[in-house]
Amino acid sequence: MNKPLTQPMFYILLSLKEKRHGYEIMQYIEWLTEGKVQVGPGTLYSLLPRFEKDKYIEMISEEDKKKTYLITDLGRDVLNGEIQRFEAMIGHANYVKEGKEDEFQNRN
Amino acid sequence: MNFKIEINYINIDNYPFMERFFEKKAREGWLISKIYQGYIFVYKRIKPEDLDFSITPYEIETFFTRKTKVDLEEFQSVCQHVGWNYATKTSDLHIYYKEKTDDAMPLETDEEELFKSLEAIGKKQEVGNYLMTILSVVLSWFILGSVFKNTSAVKDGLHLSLAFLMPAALALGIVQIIDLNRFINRNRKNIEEGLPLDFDSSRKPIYKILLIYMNIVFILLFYHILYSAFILENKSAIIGLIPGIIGVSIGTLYRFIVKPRRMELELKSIGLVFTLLLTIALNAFIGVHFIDALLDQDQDLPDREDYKIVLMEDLDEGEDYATFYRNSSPLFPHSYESYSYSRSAGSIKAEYAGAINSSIAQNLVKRYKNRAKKALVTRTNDLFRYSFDYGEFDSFLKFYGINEEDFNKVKDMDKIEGKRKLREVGFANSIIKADESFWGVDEAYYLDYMKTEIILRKDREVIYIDLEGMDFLDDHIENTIKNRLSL
Repeated sequence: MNKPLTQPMFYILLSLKEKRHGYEIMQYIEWLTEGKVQVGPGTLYSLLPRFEKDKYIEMISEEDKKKTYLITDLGRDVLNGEIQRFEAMIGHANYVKEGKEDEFQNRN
Repeated sequence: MNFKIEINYINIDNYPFMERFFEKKAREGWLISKIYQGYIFVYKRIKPEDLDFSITPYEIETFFTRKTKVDLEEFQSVCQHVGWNYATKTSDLHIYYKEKTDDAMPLETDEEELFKSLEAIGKKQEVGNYLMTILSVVLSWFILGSVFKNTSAVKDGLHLSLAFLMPAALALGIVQIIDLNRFINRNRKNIEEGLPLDFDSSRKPIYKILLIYMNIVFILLFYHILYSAFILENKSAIIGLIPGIIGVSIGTLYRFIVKPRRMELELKSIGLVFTLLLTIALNAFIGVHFIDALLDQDQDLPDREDYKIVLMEDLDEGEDYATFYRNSSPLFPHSYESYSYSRSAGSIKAEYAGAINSSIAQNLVKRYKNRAKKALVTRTNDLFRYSFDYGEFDSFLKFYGINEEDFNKVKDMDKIEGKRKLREVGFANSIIKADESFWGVDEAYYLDYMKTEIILRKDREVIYIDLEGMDFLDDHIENTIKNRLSL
C-alpha cells in the first residue's frame, strides 16, 4: 500500500489534471483553496522532480525556462486512491457525527 | 569599503540560525552577496534595512540528479515571482531576502517535504565526507609515516603540506559525518512524531578553524607545486601538473556539454564514467609519453659553483649520464640531489639539504643512519636465515661487518636473539664515525661497512654521498670529493 500523500503532494497532483507550469500550480492551489493552502516554491520544486521520477507526472513542454507538466495515468490512480481514502474518512466522520455509534455497542 | 569578507559557516543543519544572522547584518548595513565554499562570506554595503531572509534547499545540477541549470533558473524565477529577491547560494542552499514590510509566500510550506530535501542533500554530503575520510586515512598513513621516518619526505614541500593537510581533512570529515548523522536522525524522529525540525544554533567554530587551516595549507601546497615546476624547474613537478590540467579541461567540457542536458540519470552516469575513462586514458598516454621524453633527455646540470654536488667527471672519469633535481620544503628550503653515472667506473649519488636550523639537520642525519640500519637488516635477512638454518657462516655477511668469529659466538643461541646480536655487531662495524676534522664538519658517519656511503653535517647543511664501484677508502676519491664539496 502506498504511503498517504501529504497535503502539498495531493494538491499538486490535483492541479496537474490540467497541464500547468510551476508558478501556475502554486496560483491554482491558492485559488482552489481560497488561500488556505499555500505551496511554496521550495516545497513545489522538491516534489515535481520526485513525481516525475515516480512517473506520477510528465513534462509535456519546456518554453522560456518554464516546464509544463501533466498528471499521468499512474498519477491519476494514486490521486483517485487518495480521494477514495478521503471520502471513506469523511464517511466515517459523518457516521460518528450522526450519532450512529450506538450500533457499535449493539453489534452482537 | 563597499564590501567586507567574513569567515563563517553555513550548512543544512544550521541555516535557519544564519537567516537571523543575515537579518542582523542587513540592519548593520551589510547584505550577503557571495559565499565561497560555505565559509567565506562576502557582504556588500547597503543602507541599513530591516530585511527578512529565507534560505531554501534546492539541489543543484549534479550527476546524481536530473536537474539542469534551466531547472535552477526556473526555480529562482518562481521564488522572485512570489516576492523574494535572490541574494546568493552556497552549494544546495539558496538565500533570498525581502523587505520586512513586503508580503511574500513562504518558500517552504511543508516540514516533511523540507526534511526530505535536507535529508537528500545531507546524504549526498555524507557520501563525500565518507570518501574524504577514507582517502584521508589512507594518505595520512603513508604520508605521516614517511614524514616521520623518511629522509626525502622532509625535504619535499608537497609531502610536508599533505602531512599537515590530511589530519585536518580527516578531522573535518569525521566531525561532519557525526553532525549530519545526528541532524538527520534527530529530525527523522521529529517528523515521525509530528514535531518541528530542529536545527543547530551554533556557527560551528571548529568547522571554521579547520576550513581556514586547510585552505591555507592548500594554498601553500599549490604554491609549492608551481614553485617546484617553474622556479626549481623540476620536470617531474611539471609532469605532475599535467593530470590536473587534463582533469580540469575535461571536467569543464563535461560541465558545459553533459551536465546541462536534461537526460536520464543512467545516461548522465555513462557520461561521467566515459569522461573519467577519457581522463585516465589521456593521462596515461601523455604521462608515459612525457616521462619517456624526460628520461631520454639529459638533465641540464646547474652552474657547478652554486651547488655542492659531485659528479663522475670530478673523479676524472667519463660521464655517460647525469641527473639533477632540486626541491624545497619549509624545513629544508634548499635541497638538491645529483646522480652521475659512468659505464666504466660506476656512479655517484649526492644529496644536499640546507635545514632551517642545526637541530633539524641533526635529525636528518639520524634518519640517514636509521635508513642505513634498515638497509642492513633487509640485506642480511636471507644471509642470517641461511647461516642459522644450516649452522654455517655465510661469507657474504663479511660485507656487512660480521665475521665468522661473531657468528660462532651466537650460532647456538635462540635464533631471534642470535640474529639481533649479529645485527648489533653489523651496526657497530658499519655505521661508524668518520674523521670529522678531515671533512671539516660537525658530524660525519660512514653508513656501510664497505665505506661507500657517507653522511656529513656542518651546522645546518647535510650532505649524503653514495658511491658505486668506488669507496671512501680510496684516498684519491676521498680527497677529490672533500675538495669538491669544499666544506
